[in-house]
Amino acid sequence: MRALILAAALAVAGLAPASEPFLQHRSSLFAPETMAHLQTAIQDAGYQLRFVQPVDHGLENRGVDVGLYRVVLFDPPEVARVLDAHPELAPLLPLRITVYEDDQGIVLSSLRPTLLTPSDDPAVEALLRRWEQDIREILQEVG
Amino acid sequence: MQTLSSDRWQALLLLVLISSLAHAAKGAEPPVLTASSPYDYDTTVTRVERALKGHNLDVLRDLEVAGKQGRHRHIFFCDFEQLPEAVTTDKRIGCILPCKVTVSDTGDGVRLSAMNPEAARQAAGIGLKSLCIELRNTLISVMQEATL
Repeated sequence: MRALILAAALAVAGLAPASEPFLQHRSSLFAPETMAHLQTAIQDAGYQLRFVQPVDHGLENRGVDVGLYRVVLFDPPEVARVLDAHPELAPLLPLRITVYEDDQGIVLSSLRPTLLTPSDDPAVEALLRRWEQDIREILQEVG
Repeated sequence: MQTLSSDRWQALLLLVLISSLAHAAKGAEPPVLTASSPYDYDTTVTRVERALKGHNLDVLRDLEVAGKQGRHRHIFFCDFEQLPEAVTTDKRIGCILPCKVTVSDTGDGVRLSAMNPEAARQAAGIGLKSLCIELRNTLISVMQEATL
């Protein structure tokens, strides 16, 4: 009977979400400062800033106003070496942080890289966990 | 050798059954969409861009990452017809924006890959299911046309 209870508990654990899918941070700064601090934090963490996609501008050109809405794309410093060793990670890169406004202010949000792992390789999982931790720290640096 | 008692066998079978159901409930979407190209790297890049435009998708920019053993071209694109509805419905959809297809030449052939937007949506636990499924199907078509 104990085994039965254990089995049921494991099954329920398998159905429950492991944790929040997004790494999120609410900025206490205004939009320009938030964007500037974020880009500085990314570079200070050793990551390579690729570009900022101004989604809000694209929408404004079509008559839709959503407020601030930018996607910041950046690569880990070892990106070329990583893709040589693990080309299956190409779809996950560059990493992204979305910056947008909601009713309470500015939100920075990034989907946890470990949720989309295309491989069971422990080395890949370790890489994704490290990137996830780095993104967590970058978000905290924004203020 | 020890044998499992009857109730332990039942528990084990129950665990396997419920785990299978849990896996099915989570969805069987692969996290990544892939295709092999019979063309060289540059031709494949051109064919991907042409296929994207053929589906009324705007190519925003591309970005190349070159290593010692291969090179990868990320081709970023956007569906400006669907974007307003997506962003106004759930701003967290930015986790898959801008969309992209990657062309990779790793020395043993040219391959296409893209994050599966429906798998990302499921992982993120957000709405916009029909839109993400449509986008996934468009990506599959683009990759098929580019490698035809």
